[in-house]
Amino acid sequence: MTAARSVILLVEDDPDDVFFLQDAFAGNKMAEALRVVRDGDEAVAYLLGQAAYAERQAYPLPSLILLDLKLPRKSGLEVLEWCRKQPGLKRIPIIVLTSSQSNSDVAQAYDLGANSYLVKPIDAAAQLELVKAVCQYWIGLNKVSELETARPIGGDIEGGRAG
Amino acid sequence: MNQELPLQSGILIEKANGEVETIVWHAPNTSPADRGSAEAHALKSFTYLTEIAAPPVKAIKAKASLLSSPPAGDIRSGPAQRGKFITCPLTLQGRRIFGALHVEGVDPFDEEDVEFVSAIANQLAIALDRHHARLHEIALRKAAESSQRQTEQEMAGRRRVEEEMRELNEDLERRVTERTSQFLDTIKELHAFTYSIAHDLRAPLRHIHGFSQLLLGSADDAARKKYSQRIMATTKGMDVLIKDLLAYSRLTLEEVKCGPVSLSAVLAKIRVNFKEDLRQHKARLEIEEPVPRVIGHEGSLIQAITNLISNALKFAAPGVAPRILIKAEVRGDRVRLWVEDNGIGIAPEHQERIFGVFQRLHKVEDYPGTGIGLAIVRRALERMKGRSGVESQLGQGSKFWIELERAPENG
Repeated sequence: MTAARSVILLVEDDPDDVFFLQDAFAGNKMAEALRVVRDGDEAVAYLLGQAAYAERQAYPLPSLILLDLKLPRKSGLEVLEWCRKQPGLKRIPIIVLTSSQSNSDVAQAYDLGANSYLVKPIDAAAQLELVKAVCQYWIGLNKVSELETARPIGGDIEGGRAG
Repeated sequence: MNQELPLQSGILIEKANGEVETIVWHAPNTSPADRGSAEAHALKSFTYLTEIAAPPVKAIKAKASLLSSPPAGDIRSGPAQRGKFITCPLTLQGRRIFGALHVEGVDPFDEEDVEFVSAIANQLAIALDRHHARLHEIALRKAAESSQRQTEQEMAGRRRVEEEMRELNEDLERRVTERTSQFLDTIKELHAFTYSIAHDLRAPLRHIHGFSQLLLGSADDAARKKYSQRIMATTKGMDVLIKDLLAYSRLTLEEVKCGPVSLSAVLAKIRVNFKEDLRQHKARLEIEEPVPRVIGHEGSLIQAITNLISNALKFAAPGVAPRILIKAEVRGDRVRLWVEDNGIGIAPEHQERIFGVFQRLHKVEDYPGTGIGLAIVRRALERMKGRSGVESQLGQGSKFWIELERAPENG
């Protein structure tokens, strides 16, 4: 496993969801691999290495992105679409992790280039299993494309923060 | 010619309806008695003439006494002569008699007179026949024209009816299309709404479930207390969410009856409701009078303005006491009510998005809320045939506005 070097970026606005997922990652001894951003704009800033995320040592490009769909400002689908257009980011595996079971969301997510679509389980034990399976497959087994650059060029970050 | 001037003369013409029209000229010195007898003579002669013309033999016999000396030859082709009278039939070759020229004199007429009157009668018959023919022709033409006009009118009427039918059909079709489109919009909206509900109500349930599991599995009192508090906070949030959802769906589904509303009175009510909140936030709410009357629905207006003021209080800049200014601006036949604050402001790219359902710009910990407040504002204004919007720059406060039709200022 290359887990030691891999970073997983969780894009999730709900503090309770973050709490439970962090718990599940800790339960799988993957807590330190997890980086959390809280909305679409922050996700873009992180991936571009801008603002608070300029330090790549602390905020390395992730090997995997877990993306919620309902986010403040930029929605998950917008982040996904943007990401797939960035030369340095377009091959990062992105797993949509959401409570939406809507068929149109699933279809759109795949159309925009999601690698997988998972529905947040209601049960803590199921959540633990889900995180375990994700880590085993996407970090352990899955072969990713070598990232061309540590810091992607181009891209546009929208506006500023309103908070 | 025997006579210098006939005593009296007349023309008798049988009209289409069988009546006989008499035109008689009298010499200036004719006595009334003579006149009467002359007319009677003329009529008699004419009747005689027409009768002998139909079944000639019998009539001649019957009326023979009328004539002093029955004329020789064919009576139908020449004048009847009786001493002082000449009565000529008005007829044309082979046609029935349709009138008579009657001349009465003082002295008996001679052959020359008879010929002269005959010639005049012939001319008169030709003229009358032409006249009749023309009348007939005119009558026919008129009948044809009137029938054509009638047809044209009928056609025009039919075309009008067809046109009306077509317009009705088009109108119906347009209305069906309109209604269908409204219907589809409603369905689409309901779809989005259910989707959002499914998503946003499921999240707190999942959290309650998760914290309950942790609560059950934990022996640590501090942790148990923390989990219980999280559950309570989540249920409270869910309650607010359901309340907001109901308010929004009421605005979507229920009928909103609009009428003249005093914005001034509405604002006064709202100020009373906000008294405690304003005190807590150390906020100042200023209402700039005069505020015109508008066409709207009081309940929906209170809801919309309340949400705008709540937002102004909520999105205050850190460490800055909120100041809210409400003022009206008359724009033609409409009134725009501004709710201005000195809060954190909104970046231009987010200014439309925030009016959607469940759209949030901020993390829940920073600014709590359901993301429905401004959707309620927009929907409420839509239902009142009004509009809503915002002008803002990041860090420079926000100017939210709602716009409604202006109401007359009486009462």
